[in-house]
Amino acid sequence: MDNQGFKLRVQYKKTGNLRFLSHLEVLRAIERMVRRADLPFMLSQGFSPHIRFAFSPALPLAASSEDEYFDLLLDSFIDAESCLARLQAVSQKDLYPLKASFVDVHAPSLSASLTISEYAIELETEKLSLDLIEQGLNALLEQNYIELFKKGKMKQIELSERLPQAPELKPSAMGATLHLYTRSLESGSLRPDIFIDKLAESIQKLTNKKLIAERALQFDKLNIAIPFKRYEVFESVGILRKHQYFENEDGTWDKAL
Amino acid sequence: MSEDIFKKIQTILEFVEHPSRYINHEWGAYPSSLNKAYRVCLMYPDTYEVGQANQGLSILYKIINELPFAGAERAYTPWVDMADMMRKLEIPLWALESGQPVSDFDLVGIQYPHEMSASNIVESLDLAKIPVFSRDRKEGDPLILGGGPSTLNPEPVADFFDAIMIGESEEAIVEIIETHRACKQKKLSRSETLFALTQIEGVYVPMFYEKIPKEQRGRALYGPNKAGVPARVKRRIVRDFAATDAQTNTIVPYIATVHDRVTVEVARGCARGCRFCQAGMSYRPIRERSSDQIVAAVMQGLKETGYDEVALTSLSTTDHSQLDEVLRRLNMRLANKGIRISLPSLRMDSFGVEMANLVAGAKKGGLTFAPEAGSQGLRDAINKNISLENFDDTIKAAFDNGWRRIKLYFMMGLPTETDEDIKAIGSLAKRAYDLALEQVEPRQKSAVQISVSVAIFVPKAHTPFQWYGQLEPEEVQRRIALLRASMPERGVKLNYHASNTSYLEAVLSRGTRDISKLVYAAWQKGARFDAWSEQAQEELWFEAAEELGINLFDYACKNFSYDEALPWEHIDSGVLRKYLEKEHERSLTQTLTDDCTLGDCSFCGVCTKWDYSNSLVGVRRG
Repeated sequence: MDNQGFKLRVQYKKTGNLRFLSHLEVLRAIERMVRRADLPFMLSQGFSPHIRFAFSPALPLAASSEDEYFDLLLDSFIDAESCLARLQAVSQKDLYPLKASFVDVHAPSLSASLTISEYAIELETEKLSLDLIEQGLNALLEQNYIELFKKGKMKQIELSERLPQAPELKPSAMGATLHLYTRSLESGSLRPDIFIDKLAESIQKLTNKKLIAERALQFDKLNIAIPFKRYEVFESVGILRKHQYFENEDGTWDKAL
Repeated sequence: MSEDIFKKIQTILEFVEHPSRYINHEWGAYPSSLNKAYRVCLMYPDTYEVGQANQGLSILYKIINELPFAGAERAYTPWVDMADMMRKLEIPLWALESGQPVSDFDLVGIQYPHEMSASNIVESLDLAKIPVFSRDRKEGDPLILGGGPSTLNPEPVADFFDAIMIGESEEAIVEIIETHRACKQKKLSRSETLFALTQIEGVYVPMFYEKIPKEQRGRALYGPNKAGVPARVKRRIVRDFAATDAQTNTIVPYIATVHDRVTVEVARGCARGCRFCQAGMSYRPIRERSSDQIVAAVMQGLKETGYDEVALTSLSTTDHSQLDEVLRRLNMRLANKGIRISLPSLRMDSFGVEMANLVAGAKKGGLTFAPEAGSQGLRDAINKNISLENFDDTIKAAFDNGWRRIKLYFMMGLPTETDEDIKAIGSLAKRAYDLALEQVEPRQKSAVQISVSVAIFVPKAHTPFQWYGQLEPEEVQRRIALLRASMPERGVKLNYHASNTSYLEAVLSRGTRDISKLVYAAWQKGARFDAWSEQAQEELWFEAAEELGINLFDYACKNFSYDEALPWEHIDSGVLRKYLEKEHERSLTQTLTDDCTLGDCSFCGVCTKWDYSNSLVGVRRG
């Protein structure tokens, strides 16, 4: 019988300056981490043998995360603690493995099945009151439909089916923290950065002002183009993915590890 | 003065292309050098993806960081989107490891890798807020040191450097750092420090050289204006190359760089003596690493980095006397690990194909060879020793072994070239195509692809062709048309390079220090990233030349006679002048000169004049 291999699932974080790595760059870094760790990875058959990985859904650019995953197929067994220790020994602290465990070789694929994401989003502002941001958020949720530009066309997506739980806004030292839960659907996901762009748009409508943030005003004076709406309104936006979950048929959520 | 620039750029990193160009924390990077007594910033004048892959700087990065009192960090030229924002926000160029301004370092070493990087050298200095011209720098400014292949004619960028390292820098860099440090401790002035550096072999300090008055000129255009500096600066050669560290990869970048792999330099120097080739002339003598050293370096490199590919680099790797042993050993050690081995260039004979076969995976992509000239006569004139038999054997072996795509590199505008030679490129390509078809099964014939890439010859300093100007632009156009007309109707794809860039390359390759002014003026008009086709704006250079009254044609295309003073003769590449003259004369009679690792010594002078010798680990194959 063919060796089906042993599927190691690793939880890792992506923080600090490394939040600026693109998804592809993360994948490349992980492959090299696994090679440095000298784990007995299984190679695919065929013309260009490669390590058999699977990854959890991509993060938007500049988002950090405490809960990312990759699955790795090994062709011989080494206990999970040793695997984790080996990986940690060859990892940079900002792209760092936290937990490892073996899962069923036939476990559902990470990318397709981790459909629920929980984000903590830091919205830095000196000028906007929590009240105003709350109003903007409510207006956006009431609107319920947003327009996205995808593959050269304008596409409408519905918010409520992609927000499995109501977003919560709390005050913070820098301004406000938004807890956002998103559900990805086949017909299109809701990216947290896009959600904040739409929130910014909503606040702009309420205040009748386009450039609100100090930084935006400074950039405008210096003729620096601001590519994202969220930076017209907020001084900075820090997106952190705190958790990813599987959504069961009965509506309950499970962690990946 | 300590300021963490990373804090300032957090938001704008989201606004630029490839933010990973500007961050740090790569595996294998050394920590910040802030707590070291002497700090060096190493710069490559291009983006991170291009610069990080550079072997020369990787070697220096490791050497300097292993010194107990010194630390080295890196910086690259920010892409235009980031550079424009940095200027508006008054953010100076920072070094990656610490996020500290480049202008805070003791020494800034900038590579001069090829002619079209000149404007980026100016751009980088300007972004670092360091005075662009050496003469404008003050006591508190870092020392700006140049190095790299193009420094064999340093004059077109001489005004921007305080000192320039000519040749191999592993040993010289340590001497430069120790001397600079000692001068600092003695509180010597900038010019006293630069004078001290002239006493190090291989270090050229432009401020102590100027144009020799016409009546006093011999062969050199430039000479010392101060007593105690050498009339000719001798290229630095590492005598015992095999004793240097073979594993020089430390950093594993996140972004995809141009060479994403472990690179092991298996040898230095090439003895084939191609007459157009500056590297071949200026990296002699030939010094090989042993197979033990190479195999150990490859294994260690893969272990430390986690790369899945390794390249065995040198000017002519397939000439290495133990290459097939190295490849067989590596194939055994790396079996079933999914690791690819790559060879940068292949000799054009059946042995070359044999070596390619040893590293080929199950799926064969393409093979590249460089016949350089279409006719036997011109190949002999340039001393590219490839017979028609070698050519045929190579093509047959390649297609017989399963390859279906061949790329052939040629040059046009070579000295002594005639229209017949141009047409011969087309016939040689057709010959390859016909031979290929004979080797493959009928159903595979459509998979056969021969592509021909033709570059315009750029004359280089310190070669037997150094007296030639580049082919005139109008003649280039005429020959390109002839080339296109002589390509076979089917089976062969032709690529050729934009001739405007080659023209400017010729200006910079043969230029005097007056060209520094042109580089600066072109940059002021907005020239940067000239090697990138999407950014190159040759009109800016032409405009600048016109405004300065610089006759580009003279610099690019006018021949030198033997009695004219050359702008690079004050740099001694080790190769004798009379050898270059003799080789030039031999080209006129299409006479081949032996490879000195196989045949007789050709008396180039490197060994005889300077007491060096070739150092081979085995017997090379002819």
